[in-house]
Amino acid sequence: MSRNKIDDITRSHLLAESHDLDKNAIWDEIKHKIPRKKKRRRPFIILFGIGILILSGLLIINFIFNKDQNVILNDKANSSLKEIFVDKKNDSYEEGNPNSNLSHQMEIEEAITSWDANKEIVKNETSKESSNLDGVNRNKILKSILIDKYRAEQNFIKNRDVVINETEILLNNIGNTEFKNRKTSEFVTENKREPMETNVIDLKQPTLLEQHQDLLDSRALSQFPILENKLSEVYLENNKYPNILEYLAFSDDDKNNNDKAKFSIISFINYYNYNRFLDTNDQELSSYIENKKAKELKRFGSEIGLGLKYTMNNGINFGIGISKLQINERFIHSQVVGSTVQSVVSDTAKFRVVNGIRTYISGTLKEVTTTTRFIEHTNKHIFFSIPISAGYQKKFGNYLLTGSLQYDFNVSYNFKGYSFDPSNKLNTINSQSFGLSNRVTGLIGGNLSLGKQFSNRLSMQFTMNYKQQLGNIWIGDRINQSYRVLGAGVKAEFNL
Amino acid sequence: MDIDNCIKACQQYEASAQRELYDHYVDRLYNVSMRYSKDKHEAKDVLQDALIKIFKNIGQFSGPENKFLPWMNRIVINTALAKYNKNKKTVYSDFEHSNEDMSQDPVIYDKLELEDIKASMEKLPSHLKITFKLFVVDGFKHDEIASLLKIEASSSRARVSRARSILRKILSNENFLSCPEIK
Repeated sequence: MSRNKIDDITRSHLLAESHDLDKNAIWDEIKHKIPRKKKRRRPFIILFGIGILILSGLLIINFIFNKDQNVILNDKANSSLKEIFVDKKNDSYEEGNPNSNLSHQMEIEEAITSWDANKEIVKNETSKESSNLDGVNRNKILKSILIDKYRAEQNFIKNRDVVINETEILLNNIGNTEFKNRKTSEFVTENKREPMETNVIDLKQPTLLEQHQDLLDSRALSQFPILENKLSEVYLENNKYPNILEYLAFSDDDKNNNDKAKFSIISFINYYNYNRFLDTNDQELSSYIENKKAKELKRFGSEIGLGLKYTMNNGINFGIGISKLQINERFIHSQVVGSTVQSVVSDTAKFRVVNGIRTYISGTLKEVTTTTRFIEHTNKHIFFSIPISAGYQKKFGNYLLTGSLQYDFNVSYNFKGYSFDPSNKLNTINSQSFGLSNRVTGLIGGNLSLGKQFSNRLSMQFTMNYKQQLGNIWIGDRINQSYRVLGAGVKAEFNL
Repeated sequence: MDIDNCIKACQQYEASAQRELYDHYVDRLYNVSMRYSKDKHEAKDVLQDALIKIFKNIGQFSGPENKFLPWMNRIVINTALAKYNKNKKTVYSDFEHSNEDMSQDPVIYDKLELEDIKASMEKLPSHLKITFKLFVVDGFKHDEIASLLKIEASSSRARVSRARSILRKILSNENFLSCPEIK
């Protein structure tokens, strides 16, 4: 009786006992460890997604970034009005102008007769027929000024300043010259041009050499490929268990398998933005480099590759791989292909104050016309890279945080694009030897990844990469460049 | 979804059915786990391991619905005892003789509270406590207990008897059995 009673009371109490439990926490712990129908499909879905990602990357690379034909956008005639104060009687410059017969390249603009010392008189963007680089015109062009629009404008201002300065000097040296005083306001109001001085002021024209000094820059039109190296991936993985509970959930066979150091295969795709540092040892190419820097249209570089990684039990790992890098370069290059032509628009006069005396200096208003060609360059440079990495990975549950250091051997393989031959003629280039030297360069950088372990076999990570080139790549023997890149990408890792 | 269909869906590894089955039974399984664990932390560990085993092996269950809970209870108990067997350090004598005095038969038990029972149970040596719970609370037979604990069936009987005797002494010392008004 006593035995039954004590049994009954104990059973009834203990069976009625209940304890609070955080259901969701327990479920979160076990849901990834129990077999599920959907889980069986997941690797296929992930592999399918990876395939789509790879194909998308290839499509982007092949059909968008591979637009390797270059386009001559248009030719534009740029007319500038320039005040050149010369003695009209002795103005022999026009007669000796070798470009004076190129009337078809001239375009006379409306004369501006009022003088404004602070106003730059420039008119641009007048349509003009295309120029041909071949034949007689080509020789004439090469005899004329071959500079880009930017340089032409800069030199126009510079030359005018020279003229004005010389005018000042000459006026200052004419001590006995008598000038009639006239107020500026009267001149402007009446809009008359009345040469007041009795003496001829012989203002020097800029010399032909001075005007054509940028002819030296014609060599700058010889374009060379600009190299961009992109960097590959760092491979890091760890096979530690997220926590002891997960460890206990594995069978002994699984644990033995997971605890061993192991190899894994990594596939990755990266896209890069970059900063390029151009330099030259040739003074004549400086303007070309400045032009290219200023008119760069940023395009992303891309990289795709495979790697093999060895991971130790403590999370330290080492990797080696191979990747194909493609650098996509796009910029607008402008060159002056038409002659610089000067033609007299009208006579004019300039108000000056010399030694406290107000006076006018007679001169001619001339139009300067140049034709500029704009060329869109779309080049691609292909590299093969061998990345070697060492890193460490930490697991937070199923999430992976990885940091690593990497060194790349980067080999320039091919260049497809548009450039100039030594005679400045445009040519399309598709060559594995493009005058490159120092084809093999070193890159050092860092990598930070955040990802998720989907199963014992598969993980995916998003990565950020920063790399710095250690040495310069020489293009020909005059231009060199180095670069640093900041990129993002994805990688998938399959444990063997 | 009724339990029978839920079990069948779990045998097909349907995720939604697994969650439904989990929500339906987890509290009861946790109570069983608590009964054979030294603390909550160990009970949760046991519960997780047992649930993984249940969902992995649910395809082997072919009995009627009313046998499903006992089947899961047995897995939880097996998991807990496996941990117990792994961690136990003291070997107790299984041949202690019972000193039960059947003549004393107070009716005080009806007045006992859960906390009194639990406090008394905690004072039992662990091997006696587990054996007693297996036999009295969860209805295992002595030969089944012998198999689970890797002892002889006679030892199981002796343990249960010994546990009863000790419980009575404990309760007597706590004056639960000697209150005049109850007697």
